[in-house]
Amino acid sequence: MNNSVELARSRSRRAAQPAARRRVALSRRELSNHLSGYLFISPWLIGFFVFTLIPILASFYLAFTRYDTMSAPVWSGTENFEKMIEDTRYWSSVRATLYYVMAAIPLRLIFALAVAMLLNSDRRGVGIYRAMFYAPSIVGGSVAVAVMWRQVFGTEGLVNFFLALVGAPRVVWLGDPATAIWTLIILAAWQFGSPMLIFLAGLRQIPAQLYEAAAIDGAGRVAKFFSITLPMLSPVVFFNLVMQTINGFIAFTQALIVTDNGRPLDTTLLYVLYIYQRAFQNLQMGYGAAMAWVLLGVIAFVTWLLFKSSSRWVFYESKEGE
Amino acid sequence: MSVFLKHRALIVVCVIALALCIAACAPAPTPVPPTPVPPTQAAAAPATKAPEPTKAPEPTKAPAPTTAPTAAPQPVELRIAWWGSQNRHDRTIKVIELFQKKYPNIKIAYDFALWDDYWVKMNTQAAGNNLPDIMQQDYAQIASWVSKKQLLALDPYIADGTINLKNVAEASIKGGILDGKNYAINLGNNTLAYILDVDAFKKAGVDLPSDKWTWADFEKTALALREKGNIYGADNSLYNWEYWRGLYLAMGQNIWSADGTQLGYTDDKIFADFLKMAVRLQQAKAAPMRAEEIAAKWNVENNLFVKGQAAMTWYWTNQIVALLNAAGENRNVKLMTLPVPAGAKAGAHYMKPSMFFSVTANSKHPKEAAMFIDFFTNSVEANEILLAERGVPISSAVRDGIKPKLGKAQVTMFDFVAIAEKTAAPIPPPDPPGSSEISGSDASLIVTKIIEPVYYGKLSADDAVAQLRKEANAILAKNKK
Repeated sequence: MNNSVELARSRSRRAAQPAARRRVALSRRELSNHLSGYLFISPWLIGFFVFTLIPILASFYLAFTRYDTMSAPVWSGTENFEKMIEDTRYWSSVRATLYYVMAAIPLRLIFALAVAMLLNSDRRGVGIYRAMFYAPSIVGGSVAVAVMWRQVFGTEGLVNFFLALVGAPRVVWLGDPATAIWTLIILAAWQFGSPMLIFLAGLRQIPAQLYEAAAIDGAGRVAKFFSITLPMLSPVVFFNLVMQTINGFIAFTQALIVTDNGRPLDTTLLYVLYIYQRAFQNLQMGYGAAMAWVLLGVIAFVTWLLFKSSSRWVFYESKEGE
Repeated sequence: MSVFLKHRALIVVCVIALALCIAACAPAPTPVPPTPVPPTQAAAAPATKAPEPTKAPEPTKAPAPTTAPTAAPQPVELRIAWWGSQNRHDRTIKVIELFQKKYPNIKIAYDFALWDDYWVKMNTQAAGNNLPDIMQQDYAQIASWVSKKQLLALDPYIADGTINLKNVAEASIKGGILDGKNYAINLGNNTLAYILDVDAFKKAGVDLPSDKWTWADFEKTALALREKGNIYGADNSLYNWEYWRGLYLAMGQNIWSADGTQLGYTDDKIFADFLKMAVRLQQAKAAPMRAEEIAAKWNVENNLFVKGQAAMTWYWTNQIVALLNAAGENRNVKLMTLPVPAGAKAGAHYMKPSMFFSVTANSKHPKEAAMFIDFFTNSVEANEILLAERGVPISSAVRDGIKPKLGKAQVTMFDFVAIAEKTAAPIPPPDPPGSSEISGSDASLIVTKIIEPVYYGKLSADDAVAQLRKEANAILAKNKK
């Protein structure tokens, strides 16, 4: 308490001094103040440097080397990036990832919004339902869920069991190149919990009088949804879309376990899984790092596109007021 | 008002933060995930530092003598890792417990995984200088681990008797010797075997094939089993890269050239013929479709042979015990060597050291690690638990000692290995660097780009073998000096 008062005082003193003198060395007290501040956030700082920043920088360097983890990296210039162009499995992984993102993310968002609207009421016990619907997302990318999913879509699994009940033929979900990726897409759609919660928060912010006014004007449910809910919710939709798209690009566990290393025929070889195979199974860390940086570039580009497009369909209340 | 409605900047920040995290996912030299060193070990390490032998003893330098094995007062903690099935995990853990009872000062922390995951784990730990003291090694991998200086030469410990190899035949030791130094102790002899369900053959009214069978015989047999017995002939695994190697071993060639810079065989047609046969068998339902196999991911404990839906399967002999345990010991089986292509000069199988134990270069307690390897190799009591699950034991004294304890499955396997030894092809040299991209795992080139596309009908067998040659040679060409 004392410290903060002094800090505030010293600040105001400094602010009074001419700008040119601002760079004068900190007094001992100020220094110790700063130090204790950094000390308090040091757990985060250490974690950030050791587990995030240094690996990021290292991977950037490794992207231009040949590195097999046990001998020292050897500089190889842009070799790794050139290799990608000719690597047919690389392009399989790009195709699989784009297909996955473009199918799974819209599905997940639609699902999340639909459920959020159902749960946006004040009925008794609605909290329990919210928790229940959120549960699949907590166990999200976990191995346990992936293993379960393999069972569900197994040849003798739950889905085929129900298909058999209605007399439909058995489908080899995980072995057929046409259906395997859909097991991952459905898994992604099922894990709609976190966008759902965010949608729910957004829905509860929409003023009720808008709906009341629309009702007086004779608007039906559909008209209300498209003319009030969706535009009012568009910043939330935008936020979810961006976050989920990024999440979609970095999906990994599902393709490793549910479809067993991106099978069949590399139709579910998601990009990050291919990085893993190259880096950790073939021990081509340099190539893996290069692929990771290309992915970062692609995600940045896609995100930029989304931001560019947002001015056409996202409505910010503050702007409208201007 | 909602955060989202007003603070566009916040969204931007969130996105950037997340994007940076992705970059962090890129492989980096820091080990992920770091296996924590058990706290007791970390604490004990400084205390026990004094009597340690030199880290990587030169062949001329004798290791500093450590305390006698029975009288070592300091607590020592070792780490060990292996790959395998549940059966192996259970047995190995029991032996570790037995060892700890004998040497109360030595604690052993263990870690195990499936084949593919195991190597990912070991490579990551090697990069982080955090390898376990004892690691299980494979014949195909050992050369690259030695060349990267990750393994300790065991010769001093063999010389001073810590590891006793008096009852071991020279041929069983050879596989672990590289550049004149012994880096690994063979845990058992191993070879590939076809396992035939004799009762299923009888039921179908199909004759057992002759001992020297060709792939043509195999195809005929499998088709007959489907026609007459309504059962799969072959079960799974016709996609495995070991067939590729075996086909050329039988022709007196190796898949790699001697200098490891290109493929070592000339006749692509032999492999193409095999692929065509496999496709024919799948179409005739004499073998399951590859799609079914991928979807089910059969393993040694739950495959079609175990379930009685297939009459033939193949495994490494050391896995036969696990297979027969799962299938039921009363199954009446016959073990055969691998079929060979027409005009074969040798067997398609070779006697492989099933796996090794190696002491890693950064082990703080190599002496104690060597003691454990010796226990594993020479203790009859330990081998009565292991029961040749890693292959036929290399010590003749142990083989004799555990004989009375062997079950039907083990006897079948011991007898087969003795027979197979006579027709085996000479052991091929260890795989060259870069070969892990070509074969040896499910993610390798030969599975993903050659065999599976052929089985899915996306690629003709003839095109596939040509493509294999082109791509494999391009990878191996990097070994040219």
